[in-house]
Amino acid sequence: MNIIEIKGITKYYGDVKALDNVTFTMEMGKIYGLLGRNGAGKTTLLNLITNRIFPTEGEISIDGGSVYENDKMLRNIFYMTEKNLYPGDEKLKNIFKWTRQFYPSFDIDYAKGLAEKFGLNINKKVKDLSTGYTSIFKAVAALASNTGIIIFDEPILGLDANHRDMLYKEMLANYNHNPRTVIISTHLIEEVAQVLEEVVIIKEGKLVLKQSVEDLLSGAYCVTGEASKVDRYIEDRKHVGDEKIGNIKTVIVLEDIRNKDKVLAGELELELSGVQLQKLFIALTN
Amino acid sequence: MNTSLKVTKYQLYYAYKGVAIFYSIIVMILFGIVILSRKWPEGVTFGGLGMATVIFIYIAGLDWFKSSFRFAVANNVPRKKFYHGTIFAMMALTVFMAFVDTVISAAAGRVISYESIAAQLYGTVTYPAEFLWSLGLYALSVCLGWLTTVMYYRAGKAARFVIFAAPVVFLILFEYIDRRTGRALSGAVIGFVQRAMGFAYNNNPLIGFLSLITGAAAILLFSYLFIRRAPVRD
Repeated sequence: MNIIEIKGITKYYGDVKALDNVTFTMEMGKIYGLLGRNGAGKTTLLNLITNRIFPTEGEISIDGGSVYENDKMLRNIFYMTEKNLYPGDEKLKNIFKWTRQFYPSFDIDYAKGLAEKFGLNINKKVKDLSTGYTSIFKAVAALASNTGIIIFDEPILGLDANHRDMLYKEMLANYNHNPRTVIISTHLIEEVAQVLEEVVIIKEGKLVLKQSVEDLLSGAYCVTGEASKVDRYIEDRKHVGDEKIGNIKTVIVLEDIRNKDKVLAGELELELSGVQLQKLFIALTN
Repeated sequence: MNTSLKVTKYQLYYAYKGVAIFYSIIVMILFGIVILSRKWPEGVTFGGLGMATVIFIYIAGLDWFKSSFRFAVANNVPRKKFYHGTIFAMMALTVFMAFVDTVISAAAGRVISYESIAAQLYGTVTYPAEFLWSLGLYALSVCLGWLTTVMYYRAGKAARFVIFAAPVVFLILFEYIDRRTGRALSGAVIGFVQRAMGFAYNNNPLIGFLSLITGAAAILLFSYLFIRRAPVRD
């Protein structure tokens, strides 16, 4: 099933509260985007899900079983970290072999195939890889792990545009072939938006929202036009992210567009348009 | 295969090359000694190769944490499994090296005038007793190495300095108190060591073995306090 339940998680680092009473559930068979600004608590949350650090309060479970030192649960999660934890002196092909020891479902042939596609030389040592190829190597290991839950923390760090595009396609192909729970934490929101089904937004350690990308984007729109007219339009409407260039103002309205909205916008000579995930994210987390 | 045993396999995989090189050097030295003893049959006595093993296995203990812990974390291995797996690896290496050293001791004793550490300390010892005593000594040494590295890994800058300086401070304090007590402290320590190592009981190496193994077990239990919630560090 692979349902991840996060219940009342609070995490302190000394006096600093990194996560504050975070509660939500992630269901099986979805690709989640874990979004937040630097220091929002994303990596802390991922580290907690994978038993790498421990919560100050609260509990994380998968299908009802706590992840705390639980080998059975942890065998079902592969976590590609931003940090490289592999021994620098080891060849990639040997690391694939050792990874299969710990993840019996790890598909070495698939990993080799992916490595070839990305131009990754598996006879190289980890320490000889560039930043981009280190990311590719870790992403290949994650995709080949065949676990029920795969977590990517900044998977596209150092990748060029071609490799990023290839990786998104491989992620989708892998997911379509074998649906599972995928969590992607990244800063390049606009690019990754195409593969996400749901987003979880964290701000200063607190959960801001958890919603499907489709509902989120369809429940918001941009209004652009003369500043005073935009101000008139947004009176009594829930809105975020005011942007003003000269006398032109753009605001994101957090409501569905109704016919009367279109009529009013027409009367005020305002332009209504769809909102991009990245713009909405910036507005919600600023 | 159980996750702990996979950790054991991984740890031993990264140790075997070092062990092979170590014994290659030991065998070369022994050959050298045998050649020398043929030239001067009366003048060459040799012994205590086990001390080299004690140092080697201590270093192996030092080397068995940071990199392997990070790799274990990369593969979501719970700390408890990593801890158990590493203990199994340490014990396997200890048994292997104690066995090989006992075989070397037996073989060298037939060709040259050779005395193992156990024989030097206890006088005549049987090979099983020598094996067990070496096992205890190596277990203590590897566990000490591991504890050192685990403590160092968990420590902050100030605590690292304390770990580094503690032996020196301890020796200075020991000498100071010993002098102030008219050497009563060193007398008590020597008495304790003589009893713990079996010298006070008819030079019994088996008592020494039990004390060494108990010490190793105590160190391992203490190490767990540091492993239990160890974070990933660079």
